[in-house]
Amino acid sequence: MFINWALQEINLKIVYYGPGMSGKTTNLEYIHSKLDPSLKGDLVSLKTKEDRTIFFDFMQIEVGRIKGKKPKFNLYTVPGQVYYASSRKVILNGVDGIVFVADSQPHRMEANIETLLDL
Amino acid sequence: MVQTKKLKDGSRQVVLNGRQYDAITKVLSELAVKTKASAILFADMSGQLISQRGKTDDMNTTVLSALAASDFAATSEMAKLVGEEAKFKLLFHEGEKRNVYLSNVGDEFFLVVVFDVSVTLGLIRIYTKKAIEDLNNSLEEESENNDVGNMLDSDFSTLLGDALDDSFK
Ligand SMILES: Nc1nc2c(ncn2[C@@H]2O[C@H](COP(=O)(O)OP(=O)(O)OP(=O)(O)O)[C@@H](O)[C@H]2O)c(=O)[nH]1
Ligand SMILES: [Mg+2]
Repeated sequence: MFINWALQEINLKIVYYGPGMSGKTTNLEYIHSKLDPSLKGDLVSLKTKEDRTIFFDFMQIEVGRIKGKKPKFNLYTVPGQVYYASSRKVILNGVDGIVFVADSQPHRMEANIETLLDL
Repeated sequence: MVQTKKLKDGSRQVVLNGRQYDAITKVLSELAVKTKASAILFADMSGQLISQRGKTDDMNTTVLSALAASDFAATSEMAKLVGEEAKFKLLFHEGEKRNVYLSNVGDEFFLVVVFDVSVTLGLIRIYTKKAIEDLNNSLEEESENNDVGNMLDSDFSTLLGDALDDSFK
């Protein structure tokens, strides 16, 4: 959480975390498509040609002033593929909240657990 | 010092007071004038933009800060992999029209200077170095204790929850 007293801004970092192909990017895209346009910034996706996240997706949500304060949410996803472990660590730096996106397919249970333990 | 607290849930809370913010913005303004840079951003290492100066209207500076922070983080991981024990101190991206110069300010913050290729790198280097010293000094100044507890009471969370619910179409 980063608080800028002069501007009364409260910045929060939320990271969508989970195994590869579990739907992290899809979550962010859905939120982005449903939000009131005046409250959201661009959705930026750093991805491969095959639409796999290579570094992160990012968007910012502002909800206006609340009791004079201006909360801002910075939403990120991590790349779920196993060999991007160091990129995940980088994105998790300074995180305030994590949304764990599990894959509900039975054969991905092990991947869910492994990713959770790696946190 | 910038007030940094470790919260019960293990996350970190950083508070910048009004005086520090004003001092930072003043340094950025001076740097913008001296270097004629197109844009100057000051952000924290988790990617949160704190202050900006220059012609930033047509630039998505929120995203620029998030990308720049990742650039830093990725490069310092790279440094470890190639056996560099200290972190790389600055990053420079050279374009055909514009260049980007990134430099850390202590361990927690960084500065992004976007400038035209007509401005020499030497000039940017000299003034940025001075600006970083000034920024470090303002960040180290004693800060009064800001009570964040009162700011985020239960009333606040209820109102925030409602606002978030309302923000979906
Ligand atoms: N059936 C089903 N498919 C989904 C769901 N959510 C996402 N998908 C699909 O799963 C695939 C992968 O989704 P992504 O959102 O790219 O997954 P990711 O977690 O971001 O993957 P990485 O970036 O590689 O870590 C896409 O083809 C989505 O359309 C879901 O709830 N149900
Ligand atoms: Mg993804």
